[in-house]
Amino acid sequence: MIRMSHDRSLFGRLIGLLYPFMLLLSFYIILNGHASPGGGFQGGAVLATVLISRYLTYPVADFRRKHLQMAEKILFGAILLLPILLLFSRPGWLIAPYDRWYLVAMNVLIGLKVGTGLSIIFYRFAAETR
Amino acid sequence: MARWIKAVGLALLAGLVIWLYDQGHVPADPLALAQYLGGALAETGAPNRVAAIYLNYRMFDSLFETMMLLVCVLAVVRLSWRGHDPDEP
Repeated sequence: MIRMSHDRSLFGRLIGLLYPFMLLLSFYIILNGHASPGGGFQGGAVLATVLISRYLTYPVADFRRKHLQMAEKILFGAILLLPILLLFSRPGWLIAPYDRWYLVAMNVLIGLKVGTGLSIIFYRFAAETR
Repeated sequence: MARWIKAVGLALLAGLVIWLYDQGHVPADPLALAQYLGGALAETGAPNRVAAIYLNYRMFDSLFETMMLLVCVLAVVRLSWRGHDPDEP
């Protein structure tokens, strides 16, 4: 799998063309998760394929993994905090019909967190095979 | 010859699993079905019933699911071989 990266003239250009569409698809899945099939977990998995395919064409981990890990922990804190803050700011929010911004925000947070988590795991295993 | 026997055995096993699944099909509880399919849009504002369930009715499930992923990432980072990772001390 990694050996494929030596011939990156065609493969790399194709993947480079596909980056914007991968990002578009992942954010479409995340942002429309409350109204159509999809959601944070699925969109996050698609988001992780951006970094994974980048590694396949350009096998250098030139970003700090610790920054991704810190971002993942902060996102998890936000996922914990948002429902708690909503619970205490608006009594009875579980029963009353409330806006869809909570659903969209939670899907975005979950999607980013799943994307960073899967990327960290992939880069960790990929760095082992080097 | 042995590969053919294995293939036929696997096909029979798959057929058995599908048959067992078909036998054990239990219809959903009509009360819960009406509650979740009928009242999800009015109660949570989510047209997608799956989103209504995992972001509202079963919020703790989503919280612990994301926490499981965080723990998995920490375990992979801490327990795997260090190799040439420049981030490691």
